[in-house]
Amino acid sequence: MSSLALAAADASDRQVVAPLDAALRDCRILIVDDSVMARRMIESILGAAGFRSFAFAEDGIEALEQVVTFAPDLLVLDVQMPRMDGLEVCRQLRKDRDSTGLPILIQTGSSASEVRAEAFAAGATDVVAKPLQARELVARTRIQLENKLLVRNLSSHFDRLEQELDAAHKMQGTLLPSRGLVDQMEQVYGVDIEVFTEASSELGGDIWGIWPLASRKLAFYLADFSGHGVVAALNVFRLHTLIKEHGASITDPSRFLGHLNDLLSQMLPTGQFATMIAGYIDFTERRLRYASAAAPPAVVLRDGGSGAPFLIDTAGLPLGISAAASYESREIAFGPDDYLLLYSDALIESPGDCAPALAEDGLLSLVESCALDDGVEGLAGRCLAQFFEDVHDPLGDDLTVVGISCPPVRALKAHPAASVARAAAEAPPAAHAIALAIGDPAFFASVYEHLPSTLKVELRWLALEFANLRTIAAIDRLPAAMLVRLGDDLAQLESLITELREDERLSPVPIVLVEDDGSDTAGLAPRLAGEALHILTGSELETRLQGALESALDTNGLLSRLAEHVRDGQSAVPLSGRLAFRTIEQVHRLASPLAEACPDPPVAVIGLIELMVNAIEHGNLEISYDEKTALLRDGTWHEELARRLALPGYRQRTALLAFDSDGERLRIVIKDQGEGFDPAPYLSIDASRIAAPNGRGIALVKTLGFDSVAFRGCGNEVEVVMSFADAARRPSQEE
Amino acid sequence: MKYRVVAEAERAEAILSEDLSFSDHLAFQSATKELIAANRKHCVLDLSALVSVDSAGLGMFMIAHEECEKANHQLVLRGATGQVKRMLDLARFDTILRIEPGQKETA
Repeated sequence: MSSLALAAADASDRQVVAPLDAALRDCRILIVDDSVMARRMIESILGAAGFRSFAFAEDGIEALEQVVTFAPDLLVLDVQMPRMDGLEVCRQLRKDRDSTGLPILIQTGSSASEVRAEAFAAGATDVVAKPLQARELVARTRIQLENKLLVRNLSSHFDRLEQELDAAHKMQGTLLPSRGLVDQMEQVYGVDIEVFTEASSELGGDIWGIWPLASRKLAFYLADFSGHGVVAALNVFRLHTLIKEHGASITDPSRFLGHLNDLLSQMLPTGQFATMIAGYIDFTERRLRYASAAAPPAVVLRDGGSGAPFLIDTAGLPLGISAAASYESREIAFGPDDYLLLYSDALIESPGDCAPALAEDGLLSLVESCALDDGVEGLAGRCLAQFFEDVHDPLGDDLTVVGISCPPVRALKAHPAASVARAAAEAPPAAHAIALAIGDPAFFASVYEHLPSTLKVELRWLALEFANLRTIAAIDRLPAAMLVRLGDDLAQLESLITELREDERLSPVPIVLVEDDGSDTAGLAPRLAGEALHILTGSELETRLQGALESALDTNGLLSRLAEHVRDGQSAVPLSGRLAFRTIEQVHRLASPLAEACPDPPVAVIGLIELMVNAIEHGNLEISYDEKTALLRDGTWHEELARRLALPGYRQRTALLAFDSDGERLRIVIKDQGEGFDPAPYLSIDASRIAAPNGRGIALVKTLGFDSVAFRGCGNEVEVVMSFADAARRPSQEE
Repeated sequence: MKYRVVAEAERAEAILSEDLSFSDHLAFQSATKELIAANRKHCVLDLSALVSVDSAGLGMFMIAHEECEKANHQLVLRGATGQVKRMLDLARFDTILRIEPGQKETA
């Protein structure tokens, strides 16, 4: 065909061809033909159609080189060429993995079907007849390139989807307890925990969890959403959030499930639901308390595996089906030498290669036979090894298996966590005060580890992100003290503490702040420093936790006894106790209830405030008389106090007050942790201080109704004595 | 899962057999549709030949129940035995669906 004939054909073709979009226009086309005329012709046809990226080769060898260097999106290939013909180029390219998807248009001079068949057999994607028809060449080129782009888009879409699923899978993994947490729970409660999880596809519908509920109570749950894949996984995220938020109410498992059910019933469409078992092991009372929403019946095995395994009752309406559902709390004995196996239904419902699914009976025999040889140690692992001998991956459903084994009493005593042996040996506590640990479970574990056995307190736990008035109120008793871990999230902590301080019931609860050794807390917010009763570093837990917690409990205890004492008008009844204070705000909060129990409250409150503030500013914070004068004149006194309260070296200091009344005489001793001072010049009002803004407090106290004011030691301890009889004789203020 | 739908004067029955699990939801959907399309007062899922059901299958029963209610029919699950019966018991489905024993047991 002549180039003229071609040009004419081209001109008429252009009218009917729709414009190419940008992606298609930029496709790279390699034109392989030994005739320079033919190469130009093809370029001109395709160029006129809108394509603009071309490369050329004169023979097969050069074509293979260009495929590598030019990386074409499509080949227009002649058959008859020197060195290597077009069919061979095709065969070579199809052997190469990288170019299997490369579209190849072969030009054949013959329309005989055997020639075309030979071209396709060699790997051609399509065939164009020679002499070339412009319209046909453009149409075929276009179709092949559109296909290629479509496949490319699909596969990149698929890749992205795969990456997203992979990321989601990893995120879902973070919802499950880490091995570190499981190890800690093993340490704290002296149990052995075996865990096995496997999702059927990238994303699963199973979730389980474990957390410290109280010093001797370990909470757990295992849930399974109907179905699997993205929908089930999203539901797992929902459930995880709800559990974190409402975890504290698991002390009543039926209420806990009822609550989750209420929320899930509102969220889930018909056909989606979760089965769940949730509860806790109480190591003191040696029992397992749980509620279940159609979870597969858990297996219990007694006597270190030598007893016959049995199933516990787990019937109940699945979560999310009906808001009207209610759940039952069930209880069984569970203690030393007992074993609990929790699992998702894939364990009993996955059919084997040559046997039906285990079902409950099959699981019981499996557990029994595995326990026969080696007891409960590694029992879940041995059961699963046997399970997978017959059932092969991939499973049709997610599988989660958790085995919790409570060692015999003898083994307990030998366990590294001595506290656990103590826990097991101790008699049930008679309604101990509750101390609430707020922070990560690792913090709870370290507090628990350093909690002295003599301290009659029951430890509870809440994650900071879910600690708020509502979740704290959900705990069955008001905490007597709070241990708060100062982690990275200072803003969250500040808002929590602000919230607590505005609540009438919770505001008097003393707070012990524990700094994270790793984090930089030099810039400890004054707001936090100003609310704590004690501030410890993580490494001081061992040495100072007991003292700090005791003084927090004492403070709480004395305050409530003082309130009762005053309310019932029992001033003649002996009362003694201790309390701690660190800040001026605390002084103002504590002084009134203290003074109420004094012989002459309106007078006592002034004196107590003077002495307590003195213990903080001149004692703990070492602000000298002259410094205070300057600070008061500049109006920066409050600022400086807040600054020093947050400063390392000062922030650990707490002042103590001992209250001791025998009904006739009341003795109050206030002791600070400062260097002490010489009180002599301040015991009377000196002429030089008459015009100064400060320095008369102590002298004032001396002249007020106290029987005696005595400074002791290096001046960091002051004792005042008041007499109830004197107060009665003294004329009242009005007269 | 396999099924066939039989319609009588007052009721339509979908007789299910083999196993009902996650991958059967399309088949189950058609079974439900046919059951409702028969437009009889009573809709019955005959489970006597059903060997096993998983949690996704329980979800399908719930959906069928809702679909029937929408069409003003009442759904009855009848004749479950073995694993299927245990699953219905475990999930306390008797509290939300009408469940009847098989014909042999009633006779």
